Amino acid sequence: MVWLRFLLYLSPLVMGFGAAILFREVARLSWTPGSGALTTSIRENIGPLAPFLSVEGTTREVLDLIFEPILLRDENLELRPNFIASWEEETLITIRCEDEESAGLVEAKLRSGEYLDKGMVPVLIERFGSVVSVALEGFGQDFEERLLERIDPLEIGDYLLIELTLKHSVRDSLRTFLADAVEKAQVRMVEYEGDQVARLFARGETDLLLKELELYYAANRGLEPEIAVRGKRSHTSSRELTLHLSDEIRWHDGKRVTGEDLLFSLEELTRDGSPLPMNSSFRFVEEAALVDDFAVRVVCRETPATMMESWEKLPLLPAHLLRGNPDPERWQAFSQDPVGYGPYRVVRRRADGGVEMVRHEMYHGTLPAQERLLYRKFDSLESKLLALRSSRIDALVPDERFADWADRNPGRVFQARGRPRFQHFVAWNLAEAPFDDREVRMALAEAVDVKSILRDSPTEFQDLVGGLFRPGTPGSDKVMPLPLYDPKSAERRLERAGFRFDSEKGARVDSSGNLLMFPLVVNEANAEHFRFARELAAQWAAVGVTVGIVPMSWRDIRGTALASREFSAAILSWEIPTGRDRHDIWHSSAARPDGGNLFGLRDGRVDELLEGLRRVSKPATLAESVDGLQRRIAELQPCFFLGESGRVLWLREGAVEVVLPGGEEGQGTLSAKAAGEKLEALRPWWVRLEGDAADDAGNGESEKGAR
Amino acid sequence: MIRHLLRPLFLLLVRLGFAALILLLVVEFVLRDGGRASGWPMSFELPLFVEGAGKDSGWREVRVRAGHSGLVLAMAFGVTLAVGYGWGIFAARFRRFRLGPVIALPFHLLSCAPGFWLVLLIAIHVSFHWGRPGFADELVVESGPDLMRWWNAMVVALSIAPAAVAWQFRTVYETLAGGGSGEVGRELYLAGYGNDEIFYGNLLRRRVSDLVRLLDGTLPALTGALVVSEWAFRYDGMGSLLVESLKTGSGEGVFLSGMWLVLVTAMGAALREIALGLSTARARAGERP
Repeated sequence: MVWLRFLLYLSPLVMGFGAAILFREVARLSWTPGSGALTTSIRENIGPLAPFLSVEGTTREVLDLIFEPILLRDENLELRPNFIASWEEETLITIRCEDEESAGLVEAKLRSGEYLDKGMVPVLIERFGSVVSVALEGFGQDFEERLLERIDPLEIGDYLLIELTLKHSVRDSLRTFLADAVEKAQVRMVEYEGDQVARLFARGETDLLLKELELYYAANRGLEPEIAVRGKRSHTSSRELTLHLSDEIRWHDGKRVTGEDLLFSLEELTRDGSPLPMNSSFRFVEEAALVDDFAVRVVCRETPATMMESWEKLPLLPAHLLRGNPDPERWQAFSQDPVGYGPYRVVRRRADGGVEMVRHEMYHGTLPAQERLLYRKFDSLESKLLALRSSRIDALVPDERFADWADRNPGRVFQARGRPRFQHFVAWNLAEAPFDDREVRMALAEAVDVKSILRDSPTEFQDLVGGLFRPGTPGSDKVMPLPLYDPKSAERRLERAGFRFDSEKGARVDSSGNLLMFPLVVNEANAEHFRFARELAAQWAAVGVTVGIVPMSWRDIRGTALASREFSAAILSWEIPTGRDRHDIWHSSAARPDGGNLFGLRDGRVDELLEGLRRVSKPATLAESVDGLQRRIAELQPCFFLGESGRVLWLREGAVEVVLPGGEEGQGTLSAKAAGEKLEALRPWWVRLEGDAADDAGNGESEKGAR
Repeated sequence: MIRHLLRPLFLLLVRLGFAALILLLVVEFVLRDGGRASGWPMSFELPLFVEGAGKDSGWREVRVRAGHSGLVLAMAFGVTLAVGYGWGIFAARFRRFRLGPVIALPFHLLSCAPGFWLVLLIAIHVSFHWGRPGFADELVVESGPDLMRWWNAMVVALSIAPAAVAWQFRTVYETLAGGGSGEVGRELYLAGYGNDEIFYGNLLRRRVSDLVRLLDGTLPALTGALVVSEWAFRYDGMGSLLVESLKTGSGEGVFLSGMWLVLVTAMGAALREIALGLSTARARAGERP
């Protein structure tokens, strides 16, 4: 058993030897190569990176570097080409003439401009037999009427318009009918509207045709047919939008971005059960088809002026990676390893929850000057300070301890506020008492001192709500006249609404003695919403209103409370969109159970203003509509606006400058401090300053600060 | 034989039940405000780990932390047993050279220095020589074997092991070298036995039960030290969970981490009792004619 003794005696030495080897190996471990990379210290893991997910914070920052919208906005918030390089709007009118001779005459007069009214610019004029087709530039609402008014009635054919409406599949059904119909020769033209309406232009013995049509559909009651004779008509029209796409854009995996991707994204995101339901935004699309790889033709059901805003919102997905994959987990896999076409691509996700990114060398625009980006975690304050001192951190997401340290050590880091991005509000269910009473809503708004609730944190600033639209939208320079803090007025309003103060109960009661109280739904995972709820409950209690805070999971709030309108009041947040279309939020038609009008607001004036916003394009008229809508919403108070918030960026002094795209060397640069609130939007163009340049920039900025 | 297995296991359950009762009372009466603030005892969930992430992620967190602490304890306890028994027996065997105090000296010295001194020294060394922060949660290994996990565990283990090693070594050495063993050895030597035969065949064999009794003696101290060291090193283990839970007034965290620490020491005690029962039974069997 001598060996056992040796084993016993030597085992500590073996352990010591193992520890020494481990020490040597660990000493060799180095930081992930980060030299030259613009490094951001993050606090939370970078989450799923998919353009159809609603994310915020650093994950949003990374997402915006990977994916770009298919249309960009300039400084004046005007839409600018990106993947959609240009677009053409055409109104196509097809006129069936009396005979070939008349058609020839109409064509000649159209070509000479005799029949064309003011503002009608022909793109194409064609004739096939007795049918003349003219494509006019733009989406004039009354083009058909104006054109037909100018054409000699004797030259136009004499047709009867029969409108057939079915529950669905009108094309297939009508084709089947026409294939076997005896009187089909009478049908000279057919125009479809969506999947439900067909317009038949008939000539000759139309009575027999109508009888046959009625008999056929009498046997197909399941389709819920409706046949109506609309009188004489000899033309059809459609509005088409042609999207010309850039052929220079490539996905991060090198494949070209084509119209196929656009159609796939449209299909995926407007189908039922899509991860980002965009059905309502694309309700105007009747049919979309590929013309070639870089052109898509869209037949429009309607032509709102905000159509291009809908395209701007559509996230582009790579069809070659996602099409034909039935696995429901594919979206999750894609969001872990995303392929976009923005200026940066993800090289890999780090084990500490960060990501490493490199410049997309095939990027279609000006290449960013910064080659590598690193998002990583420094968990302890000590390591963060060490990395800051050795210039290994350029930007960071601070915690309270770091913010305290930065306050005590000025000149090491600086903060830049971005633009407000989110709005926070209490949504009232207007179908429920007491929120159906405007006096109560106004009283609840006047009872709250919003300024005392809003507070800044190291990573987020909060401000009063300025308006419904992003600053820069025409008309949005006028501040929304929201109710001011006035508890006395709030009490008077509540008295007027029939809620008197019961001193025994210490709260307000109605005429039957019931307490004025309501449950306030809050997302249980959102600490800030909880804080809002507590503050609001305290301030409303001061005017005698009792509030019960009801924490719920977001899934329950979205799936149950909001979807079926089973709530009284709920604290919610939304991102302030860049566009001006607010139809889906405030319009009466969106007040259905699954619609976006959460409040159930039904107001004719609001509807009129929203429709106006969709229609108008003149800046002056637009500004009027914007201001009008803001005033009307402030007056109606369908929700109580708490505030808006945006990100606070923290950067090391002299670490970053902005090299603007398109600028010549040295001319297009801007110090991070000088960029101000635009710094967040200019994120792709941040460049890390190395060595002397960083020192110069730091000194220069300090000097400027001292002056 | 079965009696020797079942009795310690029964005692283990009794100890755990007793510990659970005490912890529940502590959580209810000492952390009452914190417990109420987090909704406890009405719902016994784990909201402390990841806000809004749900129960599963809380349990996953506990499992991961238990694994981390388990590795540290395995290292510290392994070193304690290896050095304590290995070198304790070695020093007792060659007691005439007075090796005991010499071997024990460095461990006694190290055990005098509080664990955070070692933490500080390692942090300074890692910062200045390796150019990176020295705390346990700073560096992640992106490729190859996860050496950092072993390193982080080893640093925490090293900070808690010296005192345990010193105690284990001294008690093993004194058990074998003291208590009249010198006289017994002298008599046997005069009777014509060789040194190895006297020590291994006689002295060691007589003291097996005493040595087994020392088996888990360091475990309570190790688990206690783990609480402080893990927190000081920012090591994600059950010890740091206990500290964080106490700081945030989380009853669930205190209960779970406390139960884990009790489980470890109680299992050590149960193993010791089983080993003792088996060795006693074997000794009795050996005494029979």
